[in-house]
Amino acid sequence: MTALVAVLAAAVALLTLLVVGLLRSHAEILRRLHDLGAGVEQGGAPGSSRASRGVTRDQFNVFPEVPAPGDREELPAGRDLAGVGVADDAVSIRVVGVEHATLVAFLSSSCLTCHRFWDAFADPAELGLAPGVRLVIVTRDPSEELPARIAELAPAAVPLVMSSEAWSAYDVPGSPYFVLVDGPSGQARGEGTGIDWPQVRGLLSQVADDDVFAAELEARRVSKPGADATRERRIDQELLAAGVPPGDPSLYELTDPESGER
Amino acid sequence: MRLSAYGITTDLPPGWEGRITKRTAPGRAGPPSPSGADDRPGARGTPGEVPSPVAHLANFALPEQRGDFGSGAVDVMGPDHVFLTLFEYGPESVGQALFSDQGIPALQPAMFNPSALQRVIKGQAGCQRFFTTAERAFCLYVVLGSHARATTLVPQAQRTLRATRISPR
Repeated sequence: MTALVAVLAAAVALLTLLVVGLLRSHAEILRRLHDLGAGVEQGGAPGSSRASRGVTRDQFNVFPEVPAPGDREELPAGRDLAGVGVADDAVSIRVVGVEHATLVAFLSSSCLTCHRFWDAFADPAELGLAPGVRLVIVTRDPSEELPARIAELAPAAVPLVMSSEAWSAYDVPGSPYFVLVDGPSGQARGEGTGIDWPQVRGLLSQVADDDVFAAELEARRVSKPGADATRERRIDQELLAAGVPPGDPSLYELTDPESGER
Repeated sequence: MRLSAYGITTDLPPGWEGRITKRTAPGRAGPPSPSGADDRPGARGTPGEVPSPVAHLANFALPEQRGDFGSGAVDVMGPDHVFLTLFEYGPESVGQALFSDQGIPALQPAMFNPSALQRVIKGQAGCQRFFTTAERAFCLYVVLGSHARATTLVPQAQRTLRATRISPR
């Protein structure tokens, strides 16, 4: 009998521990959900948990082989590129104020992921870039790179500039990294990275899709001044056809809408 | 945007870009050609020559594979484009009659002619002048994308040339 009581007491104690553990786990889940803003009503009080909704930069993780985005919220301003090349001793490439867009690819000779891009860029015709996009590779200065290795990797048909200054100007967090700059406006349209070229090309196509969508919206927009002028011309033509010339007294007479009497 | 190498310095106007190169002599780098001759893309000049600096300046996106006098670049020019080469000759050329003009030439629309092109491309016009400056012998070769627009394009080329300085070796 004593043994049975002891076993039951141990079972109760174990179950108590289990329930306490589950309750603590549940409380922790609720606390985390609360931190993420789940269950908060629209228009919650300022400073409530809604303010912390979303993923913070500390919580944003990327593949270990690609750099995380920088701390700033805005895209970098486009800058012209100047430095040295593998074949040219002085290189300047215009990015801002030109008709085309420029995809600036920041690569290095040492990062393993970059080698997928060096290989892909060996045949630019196979990249599937839009006709109005020029690809330019930027590495760090020769003093911070392996120039001989860069010369081996550099594609013959893609311009390459060695310029650490460009890395700073574009606030590049690491390599590989890509910035797409619109030539006419000089503004960056997008930035980011990927583990291979198809992934980066996917990002580019999203930017292009946004452009197409914006262009379609613009095309559908009705020009109000134009619409007013068109309507005015049509009314004038109909009045003239009905024998009512400009300045006709009938245009200025008031009519009772119910009786139809003037 | 400033471009400077080998004593050639230029402050490029908006819309212009450039390269200054002292090219690798044929047969000095890269895998040998199966034929024995150095016919690799980009190989230029003659074996044994001492390469000199070449500056390419243009108001369009320069392709990477270019000849000294713009082959490969002039092919992609539009009617509003200008291509400019400063090609240096060896010190033995200084003092020769061909290079007797002193200073970087001033360009005029009348100096351009479709038949002055290295390779005739319909609509384009070229101009070639030899000169000496800072005890260095150069050839200036300019191509206009459209001969009909010479009065518009030549001042652009002239503005770039005015911003170019050549110092002694």
